[in-house]
Amino acid sequence: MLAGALSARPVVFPERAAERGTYTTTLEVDPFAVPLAQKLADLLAPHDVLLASPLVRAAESWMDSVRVRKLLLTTEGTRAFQTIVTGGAGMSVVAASDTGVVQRRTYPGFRGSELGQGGYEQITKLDLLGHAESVREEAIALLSAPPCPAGVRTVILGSNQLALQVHESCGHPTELDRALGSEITLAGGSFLQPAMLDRFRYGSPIVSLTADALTPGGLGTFGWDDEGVPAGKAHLVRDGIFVDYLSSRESAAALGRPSTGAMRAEHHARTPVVRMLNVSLEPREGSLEALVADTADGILLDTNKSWSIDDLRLGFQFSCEIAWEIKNGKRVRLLRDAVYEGTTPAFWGACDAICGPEEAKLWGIATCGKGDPGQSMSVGHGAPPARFRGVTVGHS
Amino acid sequence: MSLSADDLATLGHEALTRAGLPDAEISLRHQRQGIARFGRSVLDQHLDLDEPSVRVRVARGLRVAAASTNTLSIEGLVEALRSADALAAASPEDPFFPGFLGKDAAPVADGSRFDAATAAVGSAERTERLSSVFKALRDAGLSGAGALATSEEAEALLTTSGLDRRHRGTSAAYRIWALETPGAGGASGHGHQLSSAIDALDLSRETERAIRLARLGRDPIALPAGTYDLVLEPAGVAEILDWLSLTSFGAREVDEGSALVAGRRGQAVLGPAISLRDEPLGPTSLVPAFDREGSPRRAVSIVDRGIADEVLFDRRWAKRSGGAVRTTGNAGNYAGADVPVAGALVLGGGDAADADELVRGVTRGLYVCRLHYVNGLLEPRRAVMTGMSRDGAFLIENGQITRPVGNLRFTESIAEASFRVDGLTRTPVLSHSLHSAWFGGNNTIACPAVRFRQFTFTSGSQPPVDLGS
Repeated sequence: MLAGALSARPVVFPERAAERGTYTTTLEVDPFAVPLAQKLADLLAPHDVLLASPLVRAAESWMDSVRVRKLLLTTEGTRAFQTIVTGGAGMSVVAASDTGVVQRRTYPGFRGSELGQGGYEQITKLDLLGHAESVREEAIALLSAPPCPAGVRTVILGSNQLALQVHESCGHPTELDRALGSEITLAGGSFLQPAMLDRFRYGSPIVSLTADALTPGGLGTFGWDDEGVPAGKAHLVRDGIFVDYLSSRESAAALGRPSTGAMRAEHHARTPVVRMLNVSLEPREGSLEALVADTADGILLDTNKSWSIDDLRLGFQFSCEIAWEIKNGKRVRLLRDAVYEGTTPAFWGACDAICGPEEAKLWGIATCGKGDPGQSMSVGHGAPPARFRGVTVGHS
Repeated sequence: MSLSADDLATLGHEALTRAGLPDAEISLRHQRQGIARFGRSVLDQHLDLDEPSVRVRVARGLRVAAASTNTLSIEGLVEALRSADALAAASPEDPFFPGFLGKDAAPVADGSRFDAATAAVGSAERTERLSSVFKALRDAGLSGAGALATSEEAEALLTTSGLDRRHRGTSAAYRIWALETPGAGGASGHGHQLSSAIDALDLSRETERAIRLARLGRDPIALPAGTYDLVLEPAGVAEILDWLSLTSFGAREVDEGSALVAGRRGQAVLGPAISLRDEPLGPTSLVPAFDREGSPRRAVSIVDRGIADEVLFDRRWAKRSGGAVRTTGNAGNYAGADVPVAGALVLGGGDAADADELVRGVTRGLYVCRLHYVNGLLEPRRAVMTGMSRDGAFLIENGQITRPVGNLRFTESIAEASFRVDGLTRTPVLSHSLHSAWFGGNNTIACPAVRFRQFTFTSGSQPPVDLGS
């Protein structure tokens, strides 16, 4: 009533039939039934391996298990009860040389990207102990690696970095409330405006990006969004053309479209806003190593270190923990402090190869920020490695 | 529902007593906040929130663990304490755990910044205060976005050893964007103000500023990447300092070797115009007079005229140093980790009366109102950061602001750039630390406008997106 007193126009909120049902995450192993001693052992063992070098200054290992029980009741008659369990684990190591070079390596991906929907099996499959030595040795090797040379190069993004690229340059600009100007107070608007639907070339013809809340194990998977729209799947970009938004019932109605079921709140005390679901790059074919072998000259980058994009989601810059120079189809040397920049449609327009489903790891980010007061949201990204031509690279 | 620090302390004492644990700490916080948020010149979210948050720590010798809850029921608090106790029993020893403070802890100053009028603000008053804002935006033919937020906080920190700290405070924040086109780019102007008291906020002044900047920002020209003399307003400086604080001044980052100041005490790490202090007891601070461990906060000289001075410590990191240092009263939290952080960072001002005076000293350069999506993780050792200009970037020619400029990206070593600072305004402006605000804290940054010479912009203005491509 108070907001309405100042409103210049009535709110259009399309009616829906009631939804009733339950959704429950399928668990192999209930993480809350795993003894504490086992969890600590699963973290301490790799931690000790990470520390086993005088060049290591710090190491961390962590795991998260979260269970959310959510009941949505609406005056339309919707009654949806959901029990969603998510979890993940990771580790990082900081190595420093006596010349002042400091490098970090994180596994399985940048911190906060390692989560999935499921039970303790989400943690055990990561095999932290089995990877600890290689993570440590990579950090140490980076200390003596040369900085990434500057230039315009062919770039392959590894799965973890590609997940964040998708998140920042596709997920966020396709949030319809952002495009319509409702979310200026934190991170801005979007260059993808409604007049561009079905006509704007977002990327090359091999680029298709989808949003779904159905993918098993996805952090953005559920039964119903927080206004009772059942989980579904939609293309955001199809064959390179921008075709749809992440939307809510109110925002989609403004465009005369159905909601894509993306209205989500962090918890009961926050207003839902349009959020990502599982926003994924559709895989094509081939392994990462086949893609490397097909690349005459380029840089392979992975594991995000820093991220920055403008308030319309156009101009971006990312840096990565690790990179390799590729020559004649082979990784020839390790590089550190690699940075790359681009503009979203030009970057995706230069995508000329995407790996196959076997390489499309499903990452889960639980710290996507939006709203005022701020909310964190859990979102997923299926991310096959991909190659992009003519990218500006360099070092920090 | 308003809860006082005394109410929280009563709950905490009862919970500790009922749990019956010999060595425990309970930190209770209650925040009552109201946020009137608007977008597209419509008040589209108006929240009144009552949010308790409780963290408990339990120690069994050097085995220590924590648990958190958002209930203030005695049963819930006791359950949290027992959960932490079970976790502590299973945890390895932490050789650096300094123990909990007790009744013999040093006293704290009176750090309360409580304004009764701010605590009493309700939905109707926030709406009423915004009505003139919407009228001003309508009259200007611009769309508006922003928020008016008021908050009342109470905290109590208690231990079984007899520590009893209490705090109450208020805050009021206003932020406004005036927009040529909502959500789609175009000219934009921004205003903001933060205080412990709502009557200190001048909504009219900040709204008029945002409108003026939006009008000035129409039809920007494109500039190429390059180095430019830069006058950066306080809001932009604050975002850089926020990242600097996060990466460069705490004991953990120093220990890792990644901090700008690591191994450099007594050396010139920033330019001589730069003096940075943590002033948690200063007139604009919003944090309690005690830190997260209950230690008294105090002023800390972090960088003195460019020379690296004190590092921020909490009691655990102080013990880890082998007793060489004592806590500086900076126990805090970032992203779930207990790490030392600045509570009220202050960049000392200079001699310039205002930003116009700084502009007059530039032959050709840029005037930037704010920054966007700054990231300080590229190379913390050299304080290399990147970010975009936002909500106002203008060309300076012969000492005057002449034309609006499309947003550009900077990538610069802030440490190296600080040696090219030759002007700061006199009066600092207060901002929330973005990182702190995101995690529900009240850390602040107070800083003036700054003039840098030869600041590096690595990407030029973006051309408009071709709609028909």
